[in-house]
Amino acid sequence: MSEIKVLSVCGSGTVSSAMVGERIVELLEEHGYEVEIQEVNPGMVKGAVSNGDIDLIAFTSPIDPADAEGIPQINSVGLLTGLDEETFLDAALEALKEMGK
Amino acid sequence: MEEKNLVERNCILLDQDIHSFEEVIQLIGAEFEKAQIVKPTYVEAVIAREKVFPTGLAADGHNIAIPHTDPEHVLRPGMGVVVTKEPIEVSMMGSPDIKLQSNIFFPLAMEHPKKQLALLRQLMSVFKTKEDLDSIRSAKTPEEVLAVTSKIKF
Repeated sequence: MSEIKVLSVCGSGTVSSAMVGERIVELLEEHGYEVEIQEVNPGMVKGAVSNGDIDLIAFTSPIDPADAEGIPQINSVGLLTGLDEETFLDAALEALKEMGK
Repeated sequence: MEEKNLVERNCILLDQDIHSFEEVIQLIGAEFEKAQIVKPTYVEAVIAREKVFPTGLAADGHNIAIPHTDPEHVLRPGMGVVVTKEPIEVSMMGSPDIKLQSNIFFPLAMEHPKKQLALLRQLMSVFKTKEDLDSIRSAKTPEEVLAVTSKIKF
């Protein structure tokens, strides 16, 4: 299994990011990825990125793209309602393939 | 350990003749405080947070919102259900420029979101189920709402 680190970002770094985080792990596991999730609020993105090795950022609250330059940032609100998981999944899989993961 | 319901009867407010997000939170905040679910700081914190990190969602057949704030304002976990007569404008989560008209609000009081993950997942399944949201929207009595929300146990 390919191991990847995903940052799940929401306003408080708690509720929405936790709800979404679990779903991300499940979805990506189905595609052969072992996911480590870290939940943060937008203010913590820069620090988390510099601390290491984030492959993908999933956000339900807007983040400053400059805080995470070079790392794919994908809107994950569709995972909360379950109504649009494909858009997230497609974007995530595409991004991971491009990284060679 | 006895299973508890996430939504308590007094926290179900139906057919509310109110017209602003602030009023929704003030009304539910009063019930939450009475039931010792939140601290007096909850209401202001939720209203302030919503301006920066809105919680509107286009769920299955209905627009809803899940206002909440940081665990420091919460005493114990709980959820409210507020259904308004008229739609109220909220901004969409993650895309604050997109506005939604919502009639159903699920104010949340989460103490330890990570520990309460199972609870949050069950909540998400209500959002995905049009029939559940239909029942809540058209409910005339709290019991009709409880029939849906009592599925959510923790």
